[in-house]
Amino acid sequence: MNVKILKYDPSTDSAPYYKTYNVPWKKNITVLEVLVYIHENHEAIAFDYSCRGRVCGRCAMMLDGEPMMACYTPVKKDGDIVIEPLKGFPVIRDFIVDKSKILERIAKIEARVRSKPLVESDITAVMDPALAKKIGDLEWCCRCLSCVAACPVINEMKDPEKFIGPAGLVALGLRYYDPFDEADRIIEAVQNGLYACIMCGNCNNVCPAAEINHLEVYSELRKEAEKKGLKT
Amino acid sequence: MAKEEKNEDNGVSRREFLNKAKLLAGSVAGGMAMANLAAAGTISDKNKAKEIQIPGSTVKVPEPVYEVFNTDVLILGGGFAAVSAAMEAFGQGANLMMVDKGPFGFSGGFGMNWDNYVTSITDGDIAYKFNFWYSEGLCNQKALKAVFNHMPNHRIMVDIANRGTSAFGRTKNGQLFKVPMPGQEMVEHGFSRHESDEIKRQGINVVERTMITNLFMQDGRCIGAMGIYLPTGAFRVFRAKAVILATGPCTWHYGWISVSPVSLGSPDNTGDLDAIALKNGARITGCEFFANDLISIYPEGLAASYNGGIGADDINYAYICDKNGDFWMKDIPKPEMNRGLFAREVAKKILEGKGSPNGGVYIDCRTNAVLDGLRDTYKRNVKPYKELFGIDVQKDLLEVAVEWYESNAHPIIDENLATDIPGVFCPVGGGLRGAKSGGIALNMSASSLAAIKAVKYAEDNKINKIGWQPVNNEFARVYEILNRKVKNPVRPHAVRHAIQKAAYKALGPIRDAASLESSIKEIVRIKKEDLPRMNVSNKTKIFNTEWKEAIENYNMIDMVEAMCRAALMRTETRGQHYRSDFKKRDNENWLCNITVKLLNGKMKLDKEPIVCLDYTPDQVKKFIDNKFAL
Ligand SMILES: Cc1cc2nc3c(=O)[nH]c(=O)nc-3n(C[C@H](O)[C@H](O)[C@H](O)COP(=O)(O)OP(=O)(O)OC[C@H]3O[C@@H](n4cnc5c(N)ncnc54)[C@H](O)[C@@H]3O)c2cc1C
Ligand code: FES
Repeated sequence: MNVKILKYDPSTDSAPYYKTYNVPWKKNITVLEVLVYIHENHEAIAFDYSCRGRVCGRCAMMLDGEPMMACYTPVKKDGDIVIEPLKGFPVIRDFIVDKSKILERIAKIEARVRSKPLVESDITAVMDPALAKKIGDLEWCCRCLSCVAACPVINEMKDPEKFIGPAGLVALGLRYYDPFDEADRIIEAVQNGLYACIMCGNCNNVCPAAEINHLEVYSELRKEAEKKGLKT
Repeated sequence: MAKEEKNEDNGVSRREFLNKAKLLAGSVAGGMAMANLAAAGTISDKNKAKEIQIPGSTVKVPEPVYEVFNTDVLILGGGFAAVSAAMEAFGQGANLMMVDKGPFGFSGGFGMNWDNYVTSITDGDIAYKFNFWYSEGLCNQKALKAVFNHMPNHRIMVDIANRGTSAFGRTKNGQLFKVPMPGQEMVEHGFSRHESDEIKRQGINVVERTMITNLFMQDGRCIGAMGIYLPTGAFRVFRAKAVILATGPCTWHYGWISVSPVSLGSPDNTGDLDAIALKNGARITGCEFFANDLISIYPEGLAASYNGGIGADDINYAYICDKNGDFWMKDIPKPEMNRGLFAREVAKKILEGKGSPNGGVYIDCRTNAVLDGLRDTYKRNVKPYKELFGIDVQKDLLEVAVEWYESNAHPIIDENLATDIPGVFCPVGGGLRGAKSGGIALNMSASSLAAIKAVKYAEDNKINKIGWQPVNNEFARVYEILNRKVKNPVRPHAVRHAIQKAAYKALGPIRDAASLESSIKEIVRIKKEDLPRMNVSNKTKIFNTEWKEAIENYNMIDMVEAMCRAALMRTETRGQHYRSDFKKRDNENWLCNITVKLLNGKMKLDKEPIVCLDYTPDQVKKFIDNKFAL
């Protein structure tokens, strides 16, 4: 197959450029295998990965214009494909992008707010298994930020101050469900652009974690916001 | 052939990319600003010549420019061990800094946001005895005891809950789901993202994407470390009064499939600091021991990935079968099962000729009972395997192979978790595990103790003078690797795959003298013939993954050599070290550790007597020959 990739080395190139390589197709070949093939058989390229199982988020990039996890996405047939770095992030080199702007904010959001530390009896107390599952499902967000790359709103606005984007809202949802968190996550969600979201569901379609139902999280946050009269 | 289309537009506007380039400059500068807060300033050594001449080479390297950071306690690594050490040191009020090769929170085993099984202590005394028994007698009793005395009732699940995990696994009626173990209990659904968030929340200083390439030594003492900031290639020097090595296991060493070795580990796990400690005079030990799961190996791109695969282990093994459909392990009672026995059972099947074509066995997930009982991490792959990859585990047996998820090869430590190098502590150090596999819990308890010891050492041991020669030498070494021009070049990945192949041939679930000797021969050959002509094809300093690979190869090869040599020397079977030519445990000759030391560039192996406290060697023999009893 012909694989066209977008390359960029800021120390030598004035702008990113495309280059095409021939790669032998095999059944169930993953996009990551394609990149390793190019790196080893054509020329050195910069890309990053770790878990090969959609939990570290490091291999998120674009295949034919759509965000996906290179490690977990098979190339279905022996045709031509285009691979580019994850859209919307500054490129360090080739497929290595800098996601720190949004990641730092998500990390701060997802840190629990609480006045006193938990003690053992808080944890061993019975928890509704349905609630445990609801929280547990959101834990699978690996912060690959494919959802951010696919989000039409954040791509238009380009200002995480106004809209944190899908991964940030999921983090807010997790803490909203967390019975041990004491912050008002609804106000925080509204501040972070809960109503900027147009509920298009692109985030859900590209998310590698099937457990996460983005629209359900946003709807529940909105319902609560409306109860509090916070709808903007 | 590659076809170039430089500066072609292709739907992405030039302006958009220029914007991105600007942003990049901004973000890198941001990183520097953070760095400078802690830095003593960027220095250029003006007394030195403009270029450093590499002895015996024509390579010229640029005038050295160093970014210098200064701290009291320097923690190398950004995984479970490192974050625990950092939180403890921070809690003690220490001035500290963490350095991580990867993007922090996403690197190492730690950076995989999977459903961790975490063990808390219910009875420190029993847990100590159990860990010691499980080490098959090889643990340093004083060191292990020191860790358990430090945290006799370490409720790791409470710590983890306070760092952000809210929903550990529950039973159907909402009770906390616990797996009992002697003196300990295990819960599921710890997620490591919360740990890295907590580090950020506390404001602990992390210098990420910086690969440590050497320790900073002076008069036999370690006064810091140095390495490369991968996004720019800048050379960084970290000055410190005490250093904690927590850079994870050697797992990227074991074989090569298409994007990974036969390991669920991370590409960050190249055992750099173990090899670096060895090169700086420390003895390392535990080299012949590793830990394993059985994980699917097809599709190749997901092979041996815990998170992208489906597998089995010493806790869930009833659905493992041989090629004739015999579930031979299912009758082994759970209390008798452990990783060593588990690995040896698989090895025996393969030796009997009842294994699978690729040197493994099978798992049978065709019944709902098995599917329901799978770990969540595996279960979530069942549907995508069918829908994305056309593999239906409800219809077909799945081939699984023995992979490596942990290695025990680390610098030998004493009861202060101090290595042979003054100023260097290692929380996962050799001596704490013996023949038992490592895991999150012991790493975390030991890291906390290591941090206390390191903080104290930093307080008590001032640095009086500092000489830059070791820094200049290391700068020259790593830049020589980048700029080297050779006649018959070989690319770093090719050298790496040769190393990995040698490891896979000799260090698998079944070992014997012949394959170990042949792999040692191959490693010696690679060192002599291939390493010197290893050539980084693209000379860019910006995130040069090939340069990184090349530097790591020097570490990986030493560790594979040490592992093979120790495995060859240990002519018995113990833990996951199964010698088909010495199938029995031999306490008369081998109730001891093997240490590896570098002397004049050659590896010297020695038998090291076990360190005793509660049990004499004779008592140890009796204790481990019996089933574990309280
Ligand atoms: C997928 C998976 C599942 C597992 N399941 C369990 C489980 O359920 N329960 C359990 O107890 N254990 C489990 N383990 C094992 C456990 O995760 C490991 O024992 C643990 O991760 C080891 O922690 P560590 O800090 O030593 O290494 P890691 O977490 O791997 O961290 C190593 C760190 O060192 C950094 N580093 C490496 N080289 C350098 C360098 N040269 N310079 C700077 N930094 C460097 C890396 O970037 C990384 O941050 C699992 C492991 C994996 C990978
Ligand atoms: S490599 Fe971790 S998500 Fe793909």
